[in-house]
Formats: sequence, C-alpha cells, structure tokens
Amino acid sequence: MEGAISPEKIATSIAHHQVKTNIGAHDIFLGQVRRDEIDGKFVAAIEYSAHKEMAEKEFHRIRESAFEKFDLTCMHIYHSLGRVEVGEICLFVFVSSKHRKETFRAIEWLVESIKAEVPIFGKEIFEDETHQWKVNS
Amino acid sequence: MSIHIKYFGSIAQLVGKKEEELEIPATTTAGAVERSLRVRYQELKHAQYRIAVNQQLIEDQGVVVNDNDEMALLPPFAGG
Repeated sequence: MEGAISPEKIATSIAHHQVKTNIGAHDIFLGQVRRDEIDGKFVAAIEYSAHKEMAEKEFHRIRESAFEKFDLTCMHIYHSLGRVEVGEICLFVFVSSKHRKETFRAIEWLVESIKAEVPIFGKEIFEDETHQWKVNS
Repeated sequence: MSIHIKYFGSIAQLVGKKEEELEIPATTTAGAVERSLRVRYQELKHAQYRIAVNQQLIEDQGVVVNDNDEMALLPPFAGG
C-alpha cells in the first residue's frame, strides 16, 4: 500500500476481527522506520519500491505456507510502498488463531520470511537528502 | 527473439533505467544475458544482485531464456 500504515488501519483491522468468535489470540508485528545513524548521518525516511508482481506472488506463497505450517484462523500482511518517515509504520503483520502459541510461532516465521524472500527495496534517505540503499541482515 | 529486462532499486540507479527490451538469439542462457549486461553496463561490476527469470529466482545460470521471458536484476531485499 502507498505510504505509511496508519495506527487507525491497525485498530480497524482488530475491530473487524471481533465478529470472528472462534479466535482466542491475535499477534501483531509492526515494522517502524528507525532514525538510524550511519557514518554520522541520520535516516529521515525510507523510500520503498518493489518488483510488484513478483512481491505479490511471494506474499501469496508465504501466506499459503504459513496456513499449512500453523493452525491459524486469519492472517493479514501489509507493506508500504513509497516514502515512509522515521517513526511511521512500514510493515503490519496480523495473525489470529484459537490459541496463542500458534500466533507467537507464526508471526516470527512470517516476518523473517518476508524480510528474506520478498523483492522489496529500500532507499534510506538521510536528513541531508543524500541516500543509500538498505540491505536486510 | 526478444526478452524484457527489469532493473530495481540500486541496480536501476546504476544502469540509469528501470527496464528495456533485449534482442538475443534462441537458446541463450540467463548467464549469457547477464554477462552481456555486465559488458554493456560496467557499473554492474561490483554490484550485488540476484537474477529472477519470469519472477522466479534462479540458482542455475544455465537456464535457457525464451522469447518474451522476463529477466529481473534484483538487488538485496530490504522489506520490513
């Protein structure tokens, strides 16, 4: 989705699940843009781009794998495209299950899979408007 | 035959474009295409990227590319 993920979107997602009465636990991961210091310069924002078609396929594959590996009722993944300022949310992963243990295991697996396997690219824009390209560790 | 080359992130910045069409002989491998791109764009010499053919990462550069295939040069991922 274009731009940062708003706190309101997260709250709305939670509200939408209140009608699903077989859910006993949600786990949520939020990735936020951090004001990293690199060589004396501070990050002001990250501009995300992607191979969109391939990223959609990878998200779909990761979702399907997660439903097979974990006993989940629901799962939602949102990632920002475009510019996201420091302090704003760029990744929102939401899993729901009857019981909490599945949600704890699934959320970590999902976040690590997304970071390793989805062709999303990040340009770290510094406060002086110079930039460098982000690499996940 | 012709294939679509796509560049992303730092690679697109290095070569100065996001995509182009490439005319190549039949039975060309992904590895051969990559080598010709590295000759055309010297900036790729020290660049880090992986190759996807038709949106699948390839391990084997001996994969033959076909007419209308897409080959993407993907720099390191930075999602999340």
